[in-house]
Amino acid sequence: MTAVLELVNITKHFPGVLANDHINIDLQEGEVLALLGENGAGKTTLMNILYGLLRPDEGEIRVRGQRCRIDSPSDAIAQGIGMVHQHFMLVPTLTAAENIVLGQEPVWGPFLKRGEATQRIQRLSEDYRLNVNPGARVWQLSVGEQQRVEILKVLYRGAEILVLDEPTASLTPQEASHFFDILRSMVQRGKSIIFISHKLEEVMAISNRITVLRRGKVIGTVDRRDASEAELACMMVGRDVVLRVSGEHRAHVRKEAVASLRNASVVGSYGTYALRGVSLDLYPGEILGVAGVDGNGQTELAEVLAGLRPLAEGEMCVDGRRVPAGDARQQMELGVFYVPAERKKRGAVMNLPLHVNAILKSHHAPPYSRKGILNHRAIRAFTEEQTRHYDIRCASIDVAAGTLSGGNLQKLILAREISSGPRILVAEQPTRGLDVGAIEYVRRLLLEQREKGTAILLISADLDEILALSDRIIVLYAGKVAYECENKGVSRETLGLAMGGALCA
Amino acid sequence: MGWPAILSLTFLMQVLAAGVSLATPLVLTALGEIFAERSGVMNLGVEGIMLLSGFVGFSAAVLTGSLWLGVMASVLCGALMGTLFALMVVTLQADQIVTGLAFLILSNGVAIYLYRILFGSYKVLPQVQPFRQFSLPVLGSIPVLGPIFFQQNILTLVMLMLVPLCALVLAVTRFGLRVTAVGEHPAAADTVGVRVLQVRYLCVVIGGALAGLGGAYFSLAELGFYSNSMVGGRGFIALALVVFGQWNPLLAFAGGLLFGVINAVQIRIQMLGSPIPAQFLIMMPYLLTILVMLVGRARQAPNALTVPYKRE
Amino acid sequence: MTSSRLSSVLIPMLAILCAFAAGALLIALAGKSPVVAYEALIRSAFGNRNNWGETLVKTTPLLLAGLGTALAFRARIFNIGAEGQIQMGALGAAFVGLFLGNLPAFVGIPLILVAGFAMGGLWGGIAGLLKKQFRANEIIVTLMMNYVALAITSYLVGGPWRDPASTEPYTARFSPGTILPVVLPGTRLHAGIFVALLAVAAAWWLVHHTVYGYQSTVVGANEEAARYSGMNTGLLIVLTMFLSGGLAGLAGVVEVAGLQHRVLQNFSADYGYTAIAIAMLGRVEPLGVAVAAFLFAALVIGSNGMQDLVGVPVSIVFILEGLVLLLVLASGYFRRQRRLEREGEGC
Repeated sequence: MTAVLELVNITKHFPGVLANDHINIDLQEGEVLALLGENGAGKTTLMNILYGLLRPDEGEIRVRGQRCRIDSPSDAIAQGIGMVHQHFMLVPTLTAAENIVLGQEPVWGPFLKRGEATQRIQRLSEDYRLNVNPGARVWQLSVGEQQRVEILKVLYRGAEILVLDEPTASLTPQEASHFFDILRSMVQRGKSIIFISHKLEEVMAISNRITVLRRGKVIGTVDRRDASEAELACMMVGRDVVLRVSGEHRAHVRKEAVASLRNASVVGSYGTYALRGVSLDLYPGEILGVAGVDGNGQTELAEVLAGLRPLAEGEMCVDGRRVPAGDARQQMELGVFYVPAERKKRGAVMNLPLHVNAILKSHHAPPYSRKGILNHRAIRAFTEEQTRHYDIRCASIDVAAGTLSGGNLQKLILAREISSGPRILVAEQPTRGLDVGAIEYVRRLLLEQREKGTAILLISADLDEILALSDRIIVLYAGKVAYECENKGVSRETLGLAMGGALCA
Repeated sequence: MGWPAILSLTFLMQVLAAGVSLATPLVLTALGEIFAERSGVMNLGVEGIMLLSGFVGFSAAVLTGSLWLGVMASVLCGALMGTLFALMVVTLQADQIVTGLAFLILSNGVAIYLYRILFGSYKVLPQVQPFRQFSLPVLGSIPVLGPIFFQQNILTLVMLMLVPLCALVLAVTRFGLRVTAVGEHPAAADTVGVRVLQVRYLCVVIGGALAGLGGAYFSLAELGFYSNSMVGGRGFIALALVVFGQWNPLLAFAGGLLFGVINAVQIRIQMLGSPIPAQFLIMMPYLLTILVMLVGRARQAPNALTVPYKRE
Repeated sequence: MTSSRLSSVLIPMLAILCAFAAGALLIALAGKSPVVAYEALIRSAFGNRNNWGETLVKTTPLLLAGLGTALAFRARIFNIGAEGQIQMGALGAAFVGLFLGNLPAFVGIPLILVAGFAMGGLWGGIAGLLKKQFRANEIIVTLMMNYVALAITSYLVGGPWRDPASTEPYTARFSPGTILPVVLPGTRLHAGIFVALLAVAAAWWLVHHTVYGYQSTVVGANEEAARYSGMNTGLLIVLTMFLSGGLAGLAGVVEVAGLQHRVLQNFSADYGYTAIAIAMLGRVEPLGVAVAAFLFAALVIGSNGMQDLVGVPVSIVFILEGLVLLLVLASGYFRRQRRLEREGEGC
């Protein structure tokens, strides 16, 4: 078999992180190669390089043995590479057919040949069993149908190599199963596929070979027949990593849960359930770590607790009393504070000074304001104190938040949330993108809060972090709690399996 | 004329014909703005473009003696202003609202200033013979519709031609498809190789050119001379028409007719001394537009309207 | 001052200089000497007490309308309805001035101000409510409401509220107790200037020292973060539009109650749209708006004098205004580029 695609020595630096470290991958003709890895493994960067959205610092791409330059999506398309993104790139008000042919429309002079377009699409649909109504407008289509439109888009452009980025992320199980039929028929017709995923079961079901990435490096490539889910999980999350035990995991006498969710189900942005029947308890002075790959319901979970998202089913209780979901002010008053993953968009206002950001959630109450009038002296004093206490490096408290480094920004946000004396702190990916020093600092802060009796929900895609900090651990997969345990002697492998969905019923 | 005369067919036809004529500058500008907005750019300065282009066209007509050269000058002026606007908002990504208003202020000033410079010393008001009304050969003889639509001046006839043309371009050409894509989801268009910035530039220039043509109507077809107040807010009405017509040329045309007819009715009724104050009639189209904004969920504004595009 | 504050002042000043340079060229084109012309401009705006008076008279409504617009823009609400809100404010003033009999000044003046503010606020508040409830685009809604307001005014002033002693479209004189008195003898400068200055102080205090101002600034800078912090953005929108419209309404009041003492058709001469330019040039800061309004007023008055004395057309003012605005807008691109670079280093 000939290698239809080779990525040779691909290396890519970003400030502070080596996203791809001399990666070598080959794709054989007519095979399905799975690219497995957790968040931050470097999969997305690699695929963006392949699709011309990024340039590598080193390395080259070879298509059928020929070295080629891919500087833009058009170049990739010209090489027969088609990419189906995780977040669809479809124009909602146009029809499926229009979306499929956009950019390569069949024309007669200036006029669209809609008939021809429809015909070509119908033929492709039949060949690959991608049932889609070409005349339907995209906003009317289900997620599964939209995905089929995306696939038809790449097929229409004559893609021989398809890259699918987390394709089943928003599909129902039935749609996912149908999707695999489509994949099989594509392979039967000679297409070669790279399938990016973190889901072990799927990867085992559909791929011929599996390449595992971790922290920017290729850990290994195995043939599916020789692999086991356990082995893959190990490769994905690593084994025998030195755990810095930064806190005692005492088995404490558990008091009353300060907050809990019972059977919570939440609808996500795609209209599907982001959380399904999740139940958990938060205890004071305890860190509950939520492990799992991004996109399995973590953000929605955080938002429910923070009062930013309503519950479709189930209930939320604080101090044993049922509270309505979706009221952010109320949650703050109950002592729930939230450090969101998207720091720059949701956690802070980049253009405004530090002292404005410092009181984002506390500005409406004394001492920062009384009867609607701000007390600038108190605000400034507070901000000065926080910058000193948390060692936030800045020229003054009047500079814009956007001038802070990632670590200092996160310290500011944490300072803000912690200073309100939270009873419950929801920390979502708190150390993502930070340098080593800042990571240590943030983790120390979280442990300090734990000592003070705060109940902490730590959501992190970094398994090391979960293992280092949590007292108890749950794993979210496809919106459900796939696994639950005390953080005592649990194996990374087990967690890896849970994160990959292998432990789900 | 008394009230019974109003109900006569002749009167009705007169009003409708006048309405079509009055609608011309509104519809022309609205058509151009539809292109711009469908691609994601809102040009609030069309009022100013109309005035300045109308002035430029008028000057050219006076200086060369040719109305058609005047029209061409107007269109060119509008296109140039469109290009400048695109430079500001597409390339430099300046705020579209404020830039539009800046254009408004600037064009007003330039038009008035240049008029003073060029014609300030004329003892008699400079004038041209405006485009005459004439009857189109076959179509003008159609009963009822003929006199209403096809016995008009040439610019009105051009407008009538452009309406279906623009509708066609947007609906069945490749360009039209790309315009829509760029205005709704520029990132998606970018990933399939559509040149977002180029499309937007082109649409804004088209918008400017058509606004220029609309401006020419005032000085070269309606009045025969130039006046600082000849546009009188009708550029803004064209903007309203775009929304009223839900970014569709045919509906915008219908809206323009509505505005034009109401205007024509209002003029005639005032002459008769009506019980309904003229102003309430004038208000109707604007209130209707607001209503459409509240109720029109089926076709919302282009998603990326007023949002500059940056490749992430 | 931090570097960004410095550039906030420097760039508009640079733009003004460039615009004046371009203006000089245009004046030369008209066959006049730019030096003489600009001298006439400055003298006409500031030469003597009367001129100062006129400049300040012009500043008054521009300042108020500019403040109102700036307040909305600060929260990223594009209120371009100042024109209509001015009209409604004038109508509110007219109601007090024409139909409440002879009121003593200490009742009449506060009342007329409140009525104008309330009417303008109502007009703005409606747009705010529509934005909150229906997510209706405020640009179009306020634009349309301008025309409705103009039509209402036109109807009332030309019809039921017309001065019975005349056939011209204007109302009768307001009752004496509702007229803003002249404060600089020998000029037309009326108490409205104090209202405007008070409004600047009030707006400054509101923006920088109240919870409302804080929230509106945050919402304007990053609406998502505002929501994530638990702010009630819907209420903020309606409140802001009310305040914004109210200030514009006051602009209407001071014109009709202070300058003309009646409502004339088209009394507001596009103050509403100029207010937007003023708001932007003043960087949506109350003090900046005050300075911008003053400069614009000086330009308008000065240019009138420039026309009378030197023969340079008044319209050059619009050219200058437009150029300044465009240059400031264009400079925003480079400022943003610099900021992106800085942010890149940081994180």
